[in-house]
Amino acid sequence: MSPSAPVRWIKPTIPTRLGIGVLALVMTIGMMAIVFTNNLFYLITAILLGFVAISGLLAEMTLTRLGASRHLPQEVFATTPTLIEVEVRNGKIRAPTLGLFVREGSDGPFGVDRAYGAHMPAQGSTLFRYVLRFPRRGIQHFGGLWVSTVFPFGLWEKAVFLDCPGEVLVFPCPTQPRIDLRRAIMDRGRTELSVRGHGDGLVSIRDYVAGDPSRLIHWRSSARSGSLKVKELERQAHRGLDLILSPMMPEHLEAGLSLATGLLLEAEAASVCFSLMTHSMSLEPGQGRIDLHRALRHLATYENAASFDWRPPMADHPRPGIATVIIHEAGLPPPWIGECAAVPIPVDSNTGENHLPIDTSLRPESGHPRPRDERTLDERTLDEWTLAS
Amino acid sequence: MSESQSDPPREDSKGMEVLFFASGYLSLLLTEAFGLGYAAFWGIGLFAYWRRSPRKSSPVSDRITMICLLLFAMGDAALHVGQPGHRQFASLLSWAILLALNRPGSRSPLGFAAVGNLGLLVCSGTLTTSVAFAIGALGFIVSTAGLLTFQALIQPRGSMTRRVGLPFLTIETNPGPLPPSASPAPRHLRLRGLIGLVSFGVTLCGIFLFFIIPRYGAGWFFAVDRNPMRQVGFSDRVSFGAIGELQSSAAIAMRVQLIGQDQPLPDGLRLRGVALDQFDGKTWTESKGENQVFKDTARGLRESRLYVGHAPWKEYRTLKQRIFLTSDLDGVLFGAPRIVDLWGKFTKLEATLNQSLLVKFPAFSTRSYVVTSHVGGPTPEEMRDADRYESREKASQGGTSFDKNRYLQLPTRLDARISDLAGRLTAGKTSRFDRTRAIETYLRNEFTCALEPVTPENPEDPLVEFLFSRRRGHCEYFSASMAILCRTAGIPARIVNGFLATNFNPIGSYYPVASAEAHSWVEVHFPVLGWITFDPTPAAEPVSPSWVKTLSHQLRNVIDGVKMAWSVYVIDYHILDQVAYIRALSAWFRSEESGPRDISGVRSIPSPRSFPRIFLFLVLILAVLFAGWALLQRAMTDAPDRPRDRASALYLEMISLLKRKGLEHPESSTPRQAVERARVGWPEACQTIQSFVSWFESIRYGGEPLTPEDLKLAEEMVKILRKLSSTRLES
Repeated sequence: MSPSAPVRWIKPTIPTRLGIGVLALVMTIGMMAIVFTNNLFYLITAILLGFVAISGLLAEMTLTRLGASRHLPQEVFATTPTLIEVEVRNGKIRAPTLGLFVREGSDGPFGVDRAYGAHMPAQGSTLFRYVLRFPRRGIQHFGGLWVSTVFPFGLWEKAVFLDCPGEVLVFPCPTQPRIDLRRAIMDRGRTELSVRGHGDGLVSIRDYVAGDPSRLIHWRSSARSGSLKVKELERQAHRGLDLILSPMMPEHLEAGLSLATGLLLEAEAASVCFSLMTHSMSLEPGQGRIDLHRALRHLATYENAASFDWRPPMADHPRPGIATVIIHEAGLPPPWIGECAAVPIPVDSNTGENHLPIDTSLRPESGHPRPRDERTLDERTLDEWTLAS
Repeated sequence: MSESQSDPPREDSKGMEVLFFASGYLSLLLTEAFGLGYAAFWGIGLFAYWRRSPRKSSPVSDRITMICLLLFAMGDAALHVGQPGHRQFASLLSWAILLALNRPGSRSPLGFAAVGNLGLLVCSGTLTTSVAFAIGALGFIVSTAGLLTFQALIQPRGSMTRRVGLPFLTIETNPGPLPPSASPAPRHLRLRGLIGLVSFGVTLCGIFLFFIIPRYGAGWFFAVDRNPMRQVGFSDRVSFGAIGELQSSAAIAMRVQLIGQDQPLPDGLRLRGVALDQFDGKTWTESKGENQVFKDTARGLRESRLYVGHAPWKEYRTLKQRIFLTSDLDGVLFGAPRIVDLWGKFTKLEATLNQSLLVKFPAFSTRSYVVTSHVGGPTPEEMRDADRYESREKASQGGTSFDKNRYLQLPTRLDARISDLAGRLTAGKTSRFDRTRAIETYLRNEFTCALEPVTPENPEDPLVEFLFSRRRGHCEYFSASMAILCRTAGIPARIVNGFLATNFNPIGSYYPVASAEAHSWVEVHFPVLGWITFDPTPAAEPVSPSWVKTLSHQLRNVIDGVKMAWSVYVIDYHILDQVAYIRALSAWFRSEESGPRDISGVRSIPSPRSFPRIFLFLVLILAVLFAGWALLQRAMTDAPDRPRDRASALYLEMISLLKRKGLEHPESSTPRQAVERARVGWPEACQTIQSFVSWFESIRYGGEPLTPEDLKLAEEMVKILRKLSSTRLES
């Protein structure tokens, strides 16, 4: 418990409709008992009050010694239904916890029900699952959980706040790009480059170095030689994506980030290398889930540039065999990368969607927008994306 | 996840609802105001409701059921016109519930079930005061606890459970997979034990609250609204055989609790009823005269007191009896002779010429009172010595004049053998006591007490037949014989009809006085000493009871003990009982000897001057309880046990400290933005915040392991921030 967090001694309690009815009955029969001084009416009143008292007592006991912890997924996207798992633990020695509703701290003590569990044994726990939608990207903090119960009689609902702080980094909601990037990247021909990488083709076999993945161990050679040997695979250098995110208007920023997220996901799904460059950072090319998360974290915490004058350093771009994609504000000229080829995806000022056809004129002689190319990416080969000499 | 679901089929809980309603109807049946026919039709109605399924309902059968119930309800109303209003209301409610349940297309919500069942219980409370009500109340508790618990645990709000119906009373718990470290939840949750435990708790709590809720005012019970009528044997005209008729019934006439005494009296408890002084050979009557009426208010707790002074003899013992009359006996106030003090709630209290106390209790109230008697009697020497005052013989009670001739009255046609017999028995004895004792001894030794009913062969002169022919009879023959013999010998005497209770119930320490213990004896007047009791009836021959009789006797004692406890602690419980308990409790706290719980000794409720002290005491108790509960809550609040949670908690605290300094930090802001804000708005804390943020990022996103030293360092940083936030910024 955080030292500064208040101890919630008085648990919020509200009566249900049935509880209000019982209270009304208690008042009515109690008045009858007082008027007639009939001990049998007093007995009925006492029984009803006994229900009320036991209801409060058992509800209080049910909500003691509870702890909670969250199991958050690694990938959380904005506006996307996300399955949240919450483990609630019952620390009581003998008494189970019954009839537990779980809500997020922001829902309030009696807000929207997220999950319900009928039984939690003593010294045990129960996993609750519910779906949340995060409205925007960034760090989302969880203050805690409200758990409530109407046990035993459904007369009152009593809640208790469980400190369960946590946060999750919400990635931007991915937007499916309209161009078939995967096909475009895959269809640029397979150039067998004997470049060491993470592809499928075997380049050579070398000695094991600490940190090499175990899946690369070549067991036959290792057995033959008596020491561990690993495979060196071909780098799929011809399948790749360099994603450049240029400064955009604030109202279009989220759309651009969503598009970038979608592109990165496509690239990862296609098992190609990808890199990300923005005005504030530059990620080395990577591949796989870990690198994807690294890139998505940057997108999640991306802050817009102060001005639109940023130009990416294009000494390394475009790379051979790599599709370079620039996401930029539609109303502004794209940040030309000198004489490099690029595929600008203008973000429509109205819809935020990327447009086709794509400008394929790659000769920035004058810096003016290139004439539009009606061909789709499918019809172009990678060779066209060459540096203009 | 959907937040609301359509109501599942109600068949699963219908069995529980039927039991719920059945308990309400059972409480009505136990009042004995409704017979077996009602039980049959109510059972049919509930069964039809239980079997009716919305999916398979047959409109024809539903309508037939409705029509049958309606016809019987109308017939019941027609046949019982003139019954008390509360009885009619109870009947109406019972039929209305059944008709509502079986109405085609009806769905009985829980609220309707609860109100209906409670209404039946309240109605039964107006129709009975017997202990059977407790059975109905217990059934209500169990069925209500069961149904409400069942409904509360299978709430469909966001539920991932499904209903499982009777008879196992189980529900399926959360079927989701659990983390490997968690203990597995039972697949099915059995509720029977839980319902039993909850019902027990409700019962205990209800009993406790029942005793502490303050009472004030006279109890009004609809079931005891009977006009008092003096029962045969205790009226002002009693013929031979009346007492014998009473003795043939084993019904309990009253229950007598001896206050301050848990052991039975060695000679039994004699309860005086009516005294009769005029005999015409077959019937005893009471002389007509003006009764002495005692003022009585009988409103609320104001009691009546009748104090006639101490017994005039030297040795006597004070005996206090709390008497609970059953509804079969009314009009006469019973108590051990000599009654010196009386406490109760009466609308009318008067004494006849023969000191028989006639009472009228308030309508709709129970009949109980406390009698203080001086039991025992003068010694033979005292009684012999009283002869010296024969010339100045006068009544020693009430100050009224003593009409000796009334108590020497003899039938107009008295057989000469009786006077001869009296002469022979009293020959050679000079003192009134010796002569009286001689007559008493003669009857006791020479005659036999009959337990079975005796029909005189000569109904014109049953006394002569008893004295000279049969020599066997009931106590009324013995008392009549002694009274006549004494009068023949010039000794003023009268007979008294009452009870001689010998059956002491150790369960509850009281006398359950049955009608079979009705008795008749003689009172003889002595100068100065007043009326002294003599009993010429010999004791019946002891009979060794069989083990069956012994067992049934003990069982009856148990059952009657329960009824007695019900009368004492429930029906007749009022504020004076509560005050007496509180005083006993306070005496116990002071380690003092507390006297018997004697409500007649409680003159009034505590004075208003003591209310502030009582109030302060209660507030102190509540404050101590609340503090203890708060400390317990604090001790039982779990701390987050995962280091990463602790790191997040510290981060949140840092954010809250920023907010306290007026630096808002939106949720989507990054930790580094917090540093930027602090650089502008809280420069003295900027470096600390920067260090903290670096640490936090390495823990949360860098995958660095969190050691206790790191945690301690972070806590120190937060402590510094706390200190800085509490100091004022210098302008």
